[in-house]
Amino acid sequence: MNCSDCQELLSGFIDNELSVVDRENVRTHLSKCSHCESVYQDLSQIVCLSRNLPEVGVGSHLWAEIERKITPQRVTLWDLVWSYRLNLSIGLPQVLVAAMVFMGLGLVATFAYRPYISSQNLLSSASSGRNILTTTALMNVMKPEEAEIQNSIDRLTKTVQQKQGRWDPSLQSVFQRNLGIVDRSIQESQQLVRNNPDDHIAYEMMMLAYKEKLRLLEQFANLQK
Amino acid sequence: MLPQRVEVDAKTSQLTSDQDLARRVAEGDLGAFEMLYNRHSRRVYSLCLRMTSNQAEAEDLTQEVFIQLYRRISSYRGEAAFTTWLHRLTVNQVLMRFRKRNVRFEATTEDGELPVVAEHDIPKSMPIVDQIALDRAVSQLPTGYRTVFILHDVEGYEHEEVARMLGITVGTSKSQLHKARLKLRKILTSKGVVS
Repeated sequence: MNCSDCQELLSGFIDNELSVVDRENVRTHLSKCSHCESVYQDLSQIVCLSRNLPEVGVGSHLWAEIERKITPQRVTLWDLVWSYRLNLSIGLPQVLVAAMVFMGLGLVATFAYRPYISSQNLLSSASSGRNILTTTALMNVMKPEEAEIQNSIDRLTKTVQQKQGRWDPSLQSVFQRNLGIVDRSIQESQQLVRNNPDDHIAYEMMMLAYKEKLRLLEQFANLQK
Repeated sequence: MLPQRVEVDAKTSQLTSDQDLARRVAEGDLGAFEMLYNRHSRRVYSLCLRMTSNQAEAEDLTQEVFIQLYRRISSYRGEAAFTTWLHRLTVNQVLMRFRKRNVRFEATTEDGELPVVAEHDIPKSMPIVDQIALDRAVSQLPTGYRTVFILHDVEGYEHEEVARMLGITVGTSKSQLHKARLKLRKILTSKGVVS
């Protein structure tokens, strides 16, 4: 073994990843060659020190910035319920009349624009869920549990879409904002899983994002009951 | 009295597990989230800083990590250790940033081919390397080398995990790591940090 061969194997030697034969050859060479022994000592020192690199302090302004960004984005179930109660405070008869009017308008709009809506569904629906073609195509490559949760999401999305027309604008806005956040998380996780299909933690994160969407849809689907 | 309150808070923070804090955050307790932040922000920031070698980018990424953490924390079920989960979230955020910048881990970095270690290139010895010098040298590594080195040597991921995360082969991960270590040695000696 010459110096070049030996140094090529030094990292494997340090990390204890060499075969018995290679390990013995490196050991023998190091015992005879002070130059390679010196390289070995240096690399070992670098590896050893790297395990204990100190943590770096983070600026105190960072927390304030994070707090500012997360505070308005958090919408609790209580907020939603409260918003719903406010609607009722205008009086049940008015709400019923308004609901009937909205339903009537909804029915007219549905029948009048049915062909248009169908074609749009086939193309895309940016934040309100997956389209039919995409879902069908994805089902073929999804794992069973992913396909199952996607089915539940699709089912709930339809329920929510049916009820969405009766929500007031602020509730619509809350829903869209939260859905947008969750969908972004799902897309990012899907990207990670696509890049590394064997990465089980990325897959776990994707499933968590799906569950988050499911929970959000459940909350809003049950809101109008 | 403020000092007492801080002491009590600090004591509570020490006594409360990450899992408990995560559960409280999921219930809307922002104070618990601040405790988690105080407990883990240094580690998250350090990792971001080492991987990017850029203070502003590291701060930006740290923010993103904690915002993502806040959004997803209700999904955390405690199956994995919280630190493992957060750590992985951090690595993912940094790698996503790299991907947006089209950093390629498979390709040979700007350092070119595997450094051939010729006799005359190698200093006789490198007796003392302090951590600060090593940290600085790491920041000078090309991104591909640096990422593998940090994930494997600093953060302790196995080659199989590194390869999965970066979308490269285990062989490439090992090769990049070896190049990174040799490059570090070269940087440290050329800077005169070591004799």
